[in-house]
Amino acid sequence: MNKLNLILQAHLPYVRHLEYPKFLEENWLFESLNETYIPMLRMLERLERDGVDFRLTICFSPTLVTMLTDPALQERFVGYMNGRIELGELEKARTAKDEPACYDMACRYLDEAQKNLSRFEELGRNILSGYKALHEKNRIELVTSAATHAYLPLYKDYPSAVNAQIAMGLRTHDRIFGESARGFWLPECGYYPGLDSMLADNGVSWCQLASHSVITAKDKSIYSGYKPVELPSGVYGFVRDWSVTALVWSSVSGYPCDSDYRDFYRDIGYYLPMDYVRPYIHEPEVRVFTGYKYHAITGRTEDKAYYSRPRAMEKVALHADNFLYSIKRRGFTIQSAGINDPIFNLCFDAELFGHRWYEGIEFLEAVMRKVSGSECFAFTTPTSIILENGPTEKLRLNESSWGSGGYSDIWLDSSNAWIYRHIFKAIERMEELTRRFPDQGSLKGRFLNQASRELLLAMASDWPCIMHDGTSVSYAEKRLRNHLGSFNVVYSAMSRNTVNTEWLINAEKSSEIFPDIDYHLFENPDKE
Amino acid sequence: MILVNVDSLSVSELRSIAGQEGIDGADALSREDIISLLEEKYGEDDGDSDQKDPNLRYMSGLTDYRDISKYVEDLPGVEELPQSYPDTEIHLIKKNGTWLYAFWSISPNDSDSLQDAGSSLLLAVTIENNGKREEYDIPVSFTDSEWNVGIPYGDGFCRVSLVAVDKDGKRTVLSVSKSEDLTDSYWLTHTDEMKYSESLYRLYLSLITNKEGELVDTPVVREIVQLFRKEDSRDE
Repeated sequence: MNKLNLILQAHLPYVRHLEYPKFLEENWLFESLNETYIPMLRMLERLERDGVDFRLTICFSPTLVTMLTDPALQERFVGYMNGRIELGELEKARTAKDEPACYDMACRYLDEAQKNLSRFEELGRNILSGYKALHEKNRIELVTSAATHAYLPLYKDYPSAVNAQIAMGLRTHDRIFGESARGFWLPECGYYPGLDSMLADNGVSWCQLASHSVITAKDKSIYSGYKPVELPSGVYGFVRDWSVTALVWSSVSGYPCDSDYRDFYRDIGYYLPMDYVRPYIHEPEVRVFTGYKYHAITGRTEDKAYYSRPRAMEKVALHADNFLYSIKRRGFTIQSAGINDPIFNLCFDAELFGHRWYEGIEFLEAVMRKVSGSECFAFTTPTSIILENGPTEKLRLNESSWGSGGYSDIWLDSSNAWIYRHIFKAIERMEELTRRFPDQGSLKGRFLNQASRELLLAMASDWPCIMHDGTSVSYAEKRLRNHLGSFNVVYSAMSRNTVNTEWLINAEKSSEIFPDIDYHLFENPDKE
Repeated sequence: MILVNVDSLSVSELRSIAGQEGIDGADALSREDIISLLEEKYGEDDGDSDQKDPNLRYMSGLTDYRDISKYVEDLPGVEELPQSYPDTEIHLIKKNGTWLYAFWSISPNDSDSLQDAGSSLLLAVTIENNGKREEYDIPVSFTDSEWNVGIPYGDGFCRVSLVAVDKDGKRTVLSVSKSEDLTDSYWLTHTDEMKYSESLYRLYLSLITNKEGELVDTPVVREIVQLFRKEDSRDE
């Protein structure tokens, strides 16, 4: 039996700018909701209704769950969807008259948008309640991650900050889902020796690890990642299977690159006349994705063919078969090496399915339907595996991540190295504040809590990653500067033992995240 | 052969490397010019910029809105960060298995008094690897504030001190970084076992090789795989 341990990570940075009627980067959330989180929930609910036997694990990051449960952002999402539906009606009419090859897809986009909005409203605008219902049926293991998805290896000299990221992530999960998370998604698979002890101290049972962590381990591995790794603290590590995930993930040869699949970039927001798309793009005249896309990837050409849904669905079936066939073949090889019931740890970003790879959700559905009742495969979850008390192996691992190069190069290069000078200083100053003001309630306590909030937000891995990728750099840099600047406001004021009340109220309003934060999280016992 | 992505190096480091490589007048060249000359020298420019790295993650998950950043520049509350902090200190962070990144600051008081006294600065690097200690100095200027330090694989650590040297050659340690562990892998030091571990080696490869036979993009993995292949070919 080949055990499939599918772990999806759903994460977006905290973006909320109510001071603007519309804010471009909030679309990251809205697009992911409409194209991934809601359609995926509908797909999983469909499987449940059909009696398909499936299991998977989903990590909803603390920043994402905060946004998904934020009434103001929920309201703005409804506005976004109404715009999308309105454009869909226009597109139906336009394509029927001028571009009949696109008519079916225009209808499909419109229909999907209506169904997604309808499900969103049925769930009281909180889609997490739908996922929680599936969790309660033992279909999904729900886990959390670092508070703001900080890349933890770069902060290992500051255990208080790492602990704050872990503890606040777990606390947020507990507050939103009403129970503790057993698993903890290490942001970017970033591990360093000693991190597992901090996870253990916070009650975490397992985490996921980068694929090369086993061959490069300090100890000799026998199971090569096909059984859980027992880290020195007793926390279990599940090693990502790069070989299998690359079938989907590779930007060159992965299934999503197939020429019959829908092209991500060719969107009417970029090529139809401005007068037509103006109400549905960003003000004043910034062309953005509208979600209405009618072309197939076709190949490396500007001359794209029209998308054919039936042809794409044929490919989905073929790729689902190929995916399982590849695992089955690998399973034979692994079992012939003496490892029975190998575990394939399949870790992906959730937004790949539906958002980036339009047919990705149908692919997952096809794989899950084929696996259900199969004698060769079974979906499982990390906690189920741990509870089975099967074989594991103790290993000491080196630092690692799933980023390019396998270490920290993405989050520490010439484009972003400058940020650590400021963040490290802010952490040291936060530790200093907890020592100088050990017992502050009321206003000063709130002021210090706000400083902790700003510091956690500054530590997000998204900002250095965006700087590295060269996309939306200006926004990332401004966010980082704002959070560190806000932290410095508190530090300067508290150095004079004063509170800037008006500033505090505004800051609390603009960052409605971590309402239960406590600045003592940043206490460093070594510096007492 | 160059072992680091030149894009990640500071101008001072690039000039230093360019000098070592015999590129004249590097001090007067811009960062971009030095990178371009170094790339030319090392033959890194493969002339096929369209060729994507097959090991890159499929997508970052965040949509690139394409050069529209100017529209968000009026975000409220953007504040300037301090140019420097009033502390003399040095930090060391692990970038990957073969490079560490050091950055430091010198308080204005320290900087003024050291420069008034005609002192110079250097980074004193200590690497302890498998019981052997190596120490060397890297001269830096008062305008430098960061440096990449190369490290070997092994069982040990690296530490960097910021040191002032006065006119008489007397050294004063201004700050010492925390130690960073070296990458210590079982298979880098147990090559004698490799020839008896073929099935295990194949098992390892099955996790980290894609359908085209390419390995996960990690230098230490490539090193281990090369060692296995070397041991394998030795038997033939």
